[in-house]
Amino acid sequence: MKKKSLSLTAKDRRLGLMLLLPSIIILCAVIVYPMGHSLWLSFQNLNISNPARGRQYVGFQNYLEVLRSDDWWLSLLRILYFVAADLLVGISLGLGIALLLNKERKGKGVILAIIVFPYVLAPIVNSLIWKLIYDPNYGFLNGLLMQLGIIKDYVPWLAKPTLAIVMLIIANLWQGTPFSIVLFLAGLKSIPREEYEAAAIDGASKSASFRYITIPHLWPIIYMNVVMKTILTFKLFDIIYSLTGGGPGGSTTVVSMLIYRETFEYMKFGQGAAMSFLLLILVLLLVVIYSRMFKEEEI
Amino acid sequence: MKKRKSFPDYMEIFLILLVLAAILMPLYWTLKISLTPDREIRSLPMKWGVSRLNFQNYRDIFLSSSKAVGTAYTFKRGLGNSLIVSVVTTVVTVFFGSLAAYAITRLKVRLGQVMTFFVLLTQMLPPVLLVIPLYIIGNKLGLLNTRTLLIISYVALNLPLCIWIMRGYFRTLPSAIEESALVDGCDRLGALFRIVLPMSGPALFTASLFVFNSAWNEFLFALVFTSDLKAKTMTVAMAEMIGRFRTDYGLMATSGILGSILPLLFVAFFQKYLVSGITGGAVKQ
Repeated sequence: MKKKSLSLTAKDRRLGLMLLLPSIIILCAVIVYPMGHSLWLSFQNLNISNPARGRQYVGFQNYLEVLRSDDWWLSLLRILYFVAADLLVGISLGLGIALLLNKERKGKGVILAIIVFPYVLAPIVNSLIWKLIYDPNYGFLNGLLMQLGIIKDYVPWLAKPTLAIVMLIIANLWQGTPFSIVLFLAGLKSIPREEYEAAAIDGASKSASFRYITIPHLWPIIYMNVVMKTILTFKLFDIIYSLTGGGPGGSTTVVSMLIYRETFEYMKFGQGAAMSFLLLILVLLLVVIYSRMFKEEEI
Repeated sequence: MKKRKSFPDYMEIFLILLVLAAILMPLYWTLKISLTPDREIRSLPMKWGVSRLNFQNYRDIFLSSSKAVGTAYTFKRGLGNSLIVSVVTTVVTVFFGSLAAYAITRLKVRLGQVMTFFVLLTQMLPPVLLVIPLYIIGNKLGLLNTRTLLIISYVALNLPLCIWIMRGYFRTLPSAIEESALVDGCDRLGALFRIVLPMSGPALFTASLFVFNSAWNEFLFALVFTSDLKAKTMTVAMAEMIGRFRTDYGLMATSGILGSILPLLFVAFFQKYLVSGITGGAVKQ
């Protein structure tokens, strides 16, 4: 009898839609519609700096032009370099540090709080901090290496093409690794202790139980890390824009930087839109490939 | 009975200290520069400390006025704009997000899947894909260089995650309490506002933390949409300082510290909520 009075009435359903309506409107107005607009733009030739010509439908021309340009492929290579370093170094560091912290220990709460610090800062603050560290004359890094006697002359960290991208990767890892650590710690916590105890009784070595208990349990977390890091790194813009502006000599112009410049500096809106769709497709593809890879591994 | 520490134990402690140093050193250096007198910043060799604490940079920012519009004043206004934008974004997002989450969990509007799709979509979309059309639309509607456009964008970007967090929490609430209220003649809306939401403190708080922090830290939208003191946010003001050829390092460091106080306070006091938010979707129970 009680159930009856509580089953959902038509009124409840209407209320449900009413409650959802604001969210639906906002999401449609700011995400769905602009995406459509962007897609439409990518087939137009729209140059805001040259309004006299107006816009015209150009079919796939924007896409073809992008795919034919060296800038596009170079910027892709650069971001792939970034992603690869981020995945390899970032995930190993994250797992390593999580293993290190996985013991009950005095001050664990404080240590964890400190570990999360970089994660909550604005990426712009992150680049501000590293600007102060990498400064060729007064920066901390040169000062430290000099005092340790490792270098004799000051190194202009962000002025050499091959070095600049590495320094950016380091700055990005400083901010990005805490996220991995937190995920891995949560994953480690969820592994039942009994499994280790049983393995120890059976005479398994530490490395064997790591290989056969820890890693399989952490597999979903590793997957999560790979996906999130890939997505985040492909979007990377803030620290590159503010620390190197894509330089020196274009050596740190990654995809998002290229899109920003083409669109808002050269005012090629159509091409910018085309590039951002290509980027989205690429990220989606990678995520699909990852999920295939990890699924097979699990079976 | 105390166990003697063995070599591996010391090794572990050493490594932990190393990690902590790697995290704290850059922050310390920024704080140090912000408190260093100008002459000393550009003196060599490098010093690890400060001869005397100098709060001039902080004073410069807080006492700056519209009479002399400079970097310090731009940043001060940026802080104000960021605060307004972030607070309004948080309130609006969490309010509408909770309503939507309630509709999805309790009133069985079958949009759960759609919402999951939006959470994934807003994560994966390169933000620049939205920035381009929103810039054109904003230009048409005369919304460029307003805080309104930023707020609208941030609300949309954060809504899916907020709904996701709230939905996860509503599911764990026993519906019995709500049902007894309904039996007592309370209507659905009343039950939501008088019973469900007051019980959802932790989730509302976690969602607010995430939304606020993401609005506070956002850069690309603010960079493209704003052009002067009216709407420029703190991150844009900072980026201008970083990009300048002749940068006042003291002022720049100070702005970095001021812009980080709120996020760092969040970590210091509400670490649990942040961590639960980060791991929420990731770890299977």
